Amino acid sequence: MNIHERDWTTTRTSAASAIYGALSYLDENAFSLIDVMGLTGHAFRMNIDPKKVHPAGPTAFPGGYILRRNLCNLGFTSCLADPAAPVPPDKLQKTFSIIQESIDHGIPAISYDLFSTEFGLIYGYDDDSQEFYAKDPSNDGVITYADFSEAKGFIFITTISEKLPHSKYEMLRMALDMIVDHARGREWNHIFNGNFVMGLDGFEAWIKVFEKGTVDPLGNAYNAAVIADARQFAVKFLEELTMKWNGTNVVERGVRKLAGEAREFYIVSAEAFEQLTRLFPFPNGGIPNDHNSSNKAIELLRNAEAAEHEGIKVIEKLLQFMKGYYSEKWIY
Amino acid sequence: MIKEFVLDSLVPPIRQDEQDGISNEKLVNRARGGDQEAFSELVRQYRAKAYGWANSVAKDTFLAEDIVQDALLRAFLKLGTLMDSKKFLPWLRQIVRNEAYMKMRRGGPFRNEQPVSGIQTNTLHKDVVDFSNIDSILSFVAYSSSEKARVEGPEEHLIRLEMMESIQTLLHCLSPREKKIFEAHFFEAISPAELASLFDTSTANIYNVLSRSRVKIRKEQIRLSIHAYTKKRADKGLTRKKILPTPPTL
Repeated sequence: MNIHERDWTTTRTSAASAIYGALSYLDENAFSLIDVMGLTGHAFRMNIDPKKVHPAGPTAFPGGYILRRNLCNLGFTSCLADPAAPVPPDKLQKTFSIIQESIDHGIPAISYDLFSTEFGLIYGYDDDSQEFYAKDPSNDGVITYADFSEAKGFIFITTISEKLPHSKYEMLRMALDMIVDHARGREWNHIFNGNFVMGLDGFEAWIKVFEKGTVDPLGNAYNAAVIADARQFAVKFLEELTMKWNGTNVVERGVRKLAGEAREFYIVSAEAFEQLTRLFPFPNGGIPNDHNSSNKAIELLRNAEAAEHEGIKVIEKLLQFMKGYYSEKWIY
Repeated sequence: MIKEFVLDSLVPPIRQDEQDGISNEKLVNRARGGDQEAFSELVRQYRAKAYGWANSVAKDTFLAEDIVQDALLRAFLKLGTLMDSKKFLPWLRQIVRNEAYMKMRRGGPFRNEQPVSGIQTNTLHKDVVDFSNIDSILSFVAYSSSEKARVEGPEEHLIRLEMMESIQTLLHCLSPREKKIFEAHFFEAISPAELASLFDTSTANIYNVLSRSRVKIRKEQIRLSIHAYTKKRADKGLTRKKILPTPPTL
């Protein structure tokens, strides 16, 4: 995929597209999908299963925690329902309530595992036919209240409550904070008991699976596809920081400069992942455990890894700068 | 042979003064092991009580006598399925009451009328056996809980009644056979192995039935809960249907 020709209104990161989709119902929506991908940190994520690169990796994060923070970064308060199955009747009714309240206010509810194991939106309800109207990357259709309630594992609903805007400076600072925490493996995800390796350490985990020859072709291709798509958004997001932020003060100039530096590294990473997706196209996945393929894959992953290590250093520098702006003039 | 023995043992007059002496629990244990003398002793001890339970349902001396005889025979045959010997008395009471309800339905003095207030009769089965009658079991459980309530306070009593009420509603979704097995397991704490022999099937099959029943009951609970929820919304006059424009490509 050519980064200059691609469609910037869709992404393989369904959490971000669900957020973007929900926000599109607001009268004044200032966010593009590029903004959403960047400001939520989804453009910079990587979550690898160290046994076989399982396809669950990209969505194996604590949904309530991440989506709440994502919406917080964008300036919204939110509601969350994630009761474990079997869901007791009272919790089920409360969950239905927040979905319907949100739709009554004109905003779909964000959900997970509606028609597939991805994030999607519930955008309508009908109490008479007892059906929700829902859409996710795989389907657009109805789900009966009963089927929705028969959740596997748990029910997941996040709804957007109120707009609580903060400045673009604060938004960027919050986003960078999430990006760095994730890359450095500090993000809260203990519910997965170490079954996935997040952030930069994911590269080594992925490479080891190739070395062991236990790569799951579908999972490998899917992770590559999601991350390749995400990194293109990372490049675009950083690029827009260098263009949209003006040069009027030290902070604006600082952001432009450092975002531009970081962008160079993510271009390298995005290109490596792009090649990886060509080697292992989703969904058929190619032959990842073949010796030649795995050698090539390891080389590409090492290139991306090296670039992202440098990229994160720049982003950390940008975060420090956003936390305490440097003196504009320093005479020493 | 066993039948003759049991019926013989019913002939002697009730001798309540014999109740003291041998501990009930020991007697039950011995009877469970097949000791006919021990069972005979139990019968002597509890015949009066059994008669009282039967008569409270039948309101007819001769019918009550019939009920007790058949119930005691049943009890002897099924004693092996009693898990906890301490629960002999409630277990026996249930068998007597079930037998009583069954006989009443088959044409007691009230024929087709509903003889006992509060007993639902919408789940009649021709081949009804001891554990098939959810309503009588539940009446029993509710009854015992009302006795318990005196000791344990009204709060538990209420919770128990509510629980029983909701279970009663839910069990209608099971097939007659599933119901029998579920009730026997749930209310009587009878192990799957014992149920397997009781219902002439394999233990694996009993596990399947129990697991399938649990799924059915859970679905039924959800169905009723959703129904109650949408009805509540309708009663409040809230919006019934709202569909936003289809979201953009996800």
